[in-house]
Amino acid sequence: MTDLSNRFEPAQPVPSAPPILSVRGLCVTFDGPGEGLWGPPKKVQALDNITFDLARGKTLGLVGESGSGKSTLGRAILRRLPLSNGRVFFEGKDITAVKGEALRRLTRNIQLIFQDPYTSLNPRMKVLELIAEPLLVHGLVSSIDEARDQVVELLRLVNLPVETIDRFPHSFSGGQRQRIGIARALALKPQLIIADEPVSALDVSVRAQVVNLMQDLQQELGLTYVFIAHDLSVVRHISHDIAILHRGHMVEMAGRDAIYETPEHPYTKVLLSAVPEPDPSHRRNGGVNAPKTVPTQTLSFDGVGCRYRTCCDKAGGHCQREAPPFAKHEGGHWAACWHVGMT
Amino acid sequence: MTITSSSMSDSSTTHRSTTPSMTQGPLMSFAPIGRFLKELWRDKAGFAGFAFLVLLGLAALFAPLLAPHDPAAQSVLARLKPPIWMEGSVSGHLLGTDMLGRDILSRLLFGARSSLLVSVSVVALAGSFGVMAGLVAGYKGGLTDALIMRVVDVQVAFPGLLLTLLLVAVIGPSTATIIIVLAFSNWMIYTRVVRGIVMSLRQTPFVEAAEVVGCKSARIILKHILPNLISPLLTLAILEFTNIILAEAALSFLGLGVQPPATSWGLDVAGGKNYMMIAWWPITFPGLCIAMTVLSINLFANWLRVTTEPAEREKRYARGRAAKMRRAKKT
Repeated sequence: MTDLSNRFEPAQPVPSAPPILSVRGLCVTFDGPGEGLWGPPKKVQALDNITFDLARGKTLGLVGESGSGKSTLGRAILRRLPLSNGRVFFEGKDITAVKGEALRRLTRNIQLIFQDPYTSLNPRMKVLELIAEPLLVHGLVSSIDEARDQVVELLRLVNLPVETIDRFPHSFSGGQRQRIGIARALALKPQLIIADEPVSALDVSVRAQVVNLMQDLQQELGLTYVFIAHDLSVVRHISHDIAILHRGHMVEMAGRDAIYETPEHPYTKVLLSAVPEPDPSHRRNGGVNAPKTVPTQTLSFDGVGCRYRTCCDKAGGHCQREAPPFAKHEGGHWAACWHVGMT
Repeated sequence: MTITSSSMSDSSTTHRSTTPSMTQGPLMSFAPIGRFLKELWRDKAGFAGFAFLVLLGLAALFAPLLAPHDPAAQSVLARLKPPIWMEGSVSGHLLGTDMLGRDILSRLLFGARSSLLVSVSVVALAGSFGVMAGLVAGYKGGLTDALIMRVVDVQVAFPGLLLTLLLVAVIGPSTATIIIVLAFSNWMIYTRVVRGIVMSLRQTPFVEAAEVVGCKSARIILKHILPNLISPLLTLAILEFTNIILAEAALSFLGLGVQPPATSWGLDVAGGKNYMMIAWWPITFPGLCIAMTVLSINLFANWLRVTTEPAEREKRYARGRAAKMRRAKKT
């Protein structure tokens, strides 16, 4: 924690509004299987030293391959996971140690949209009960029927026909179910919504509908999103800032255009080159080479030096000796690389 | 049936819209029954099962009025007389007599009382306790789970019949004792089954969603987990129901269950077993009663399972509509 303070340059421009969400040096460790029969459990570092700020009304896209810790980060912000280190601030308040009833009250302000719209709705509850449940359990209404008006309003907000209110989830399509999930998340009028791959289980044709709906809601209600995804084009569409995660580390974070146009970190470059480009004349590498895959086997996890030094063109002596911190560079571009701005 | 039930629900809806409070009360309370029967009627097998169960319940309730003889009255002269449609039968004994000359039909009617009472109460008692323990163990996990499951393990390891005999011998045989003792030695299976399902349901996103939304554990267990346990529980309860009838028969056979002059189906099966080769009727009729009861429960439970599952229920409704349209097209 102490060395973090000097990592944030004091010269950085003070944002006009305080960030709604601040994460400082967040670490999550899981107990893995032990060595042999009696050995101590192996620690698995799921998230290591994650730091970022998220301004009110903005969307942060969290991108990474599977296993990179995106969903874990989402759950950690929701305080559903114990942190091994670091702090989470919501609206300036430290929510790291919040639990029990206080945590329950906190969920009124931070809500979650689930990845799979098919399993995230109880098959035995009607739309009315599903959406009214948050209101009921927080004592905002005394009975389900009292919530009917609010539920109707929420259905209208997510563009679902009002007469669907008494139907069960099985009679809806994936996109409609996801709207029900969004309506449920909105019921408590939260300020921050963590969307855990909200469109990756949906048909390509309805993805745009849901993403556009989320954007409209953001403008209408001033929501802040943490948008977790692995689909780079969707993330580019909805996000203001994008953070790239790899193996529990944040490797780069910048405005969405900066990430796509001028990626600094070698991993980001490889990741972007893996995006299929439908138009041959626009292919990044001239359409000749097959997209590069991340050479994970050559990454070095010895803890000394930069992890990516073996697969980076620019790797030099400094990279061998010391791991680059995740630090802010010119133009608000955060990256864990010694070479940013030196091109 | 359809006509009466539909007219019943129709009348209640018109009443609801036209007349205010006063006459509404009793009619309103009939409307759900009408709707229930109307929906049940669409599943003929389920309806047959339900009808049999209702008749059985009434027969057991009014056994003293229906039985042609005293079920305990013995007659050495009329021993092992066959049913009325066979040669050598005695008039007045519709289903024949057993080895002590007791009227089998009367014994069936009276036996239904204790058989149904014991098995239904044991399943209800053991089921509710076992399910509760399983829900808590599966949802809380950790130490609570370990404690409950070790108790279950210990009790499963202990021979059930021995424990039952011991307890009955200590407390003394009576219907209430059998119920309590059988429930005490049969609750574990519910706990085991429920715990397993709860543990897997806990991982489902809709339970996580309920937690994120701010539901407390009690609400999650009762509103989100328990309703999704209905179909496996129904299946389990029916299997257990037959088990209990047989366990009660075994106890009665050993003289620790239902005490004569009272009787039960299980007791009659056990008693008739020795004469199976020379007279089939003392064992066949009570056995048939057990089989019919279990079959009826199965048919009705099958309907109930579908009805409690919204997706299945709508599918069944759609199938019914499609069949009706096909029939209409043909004619």
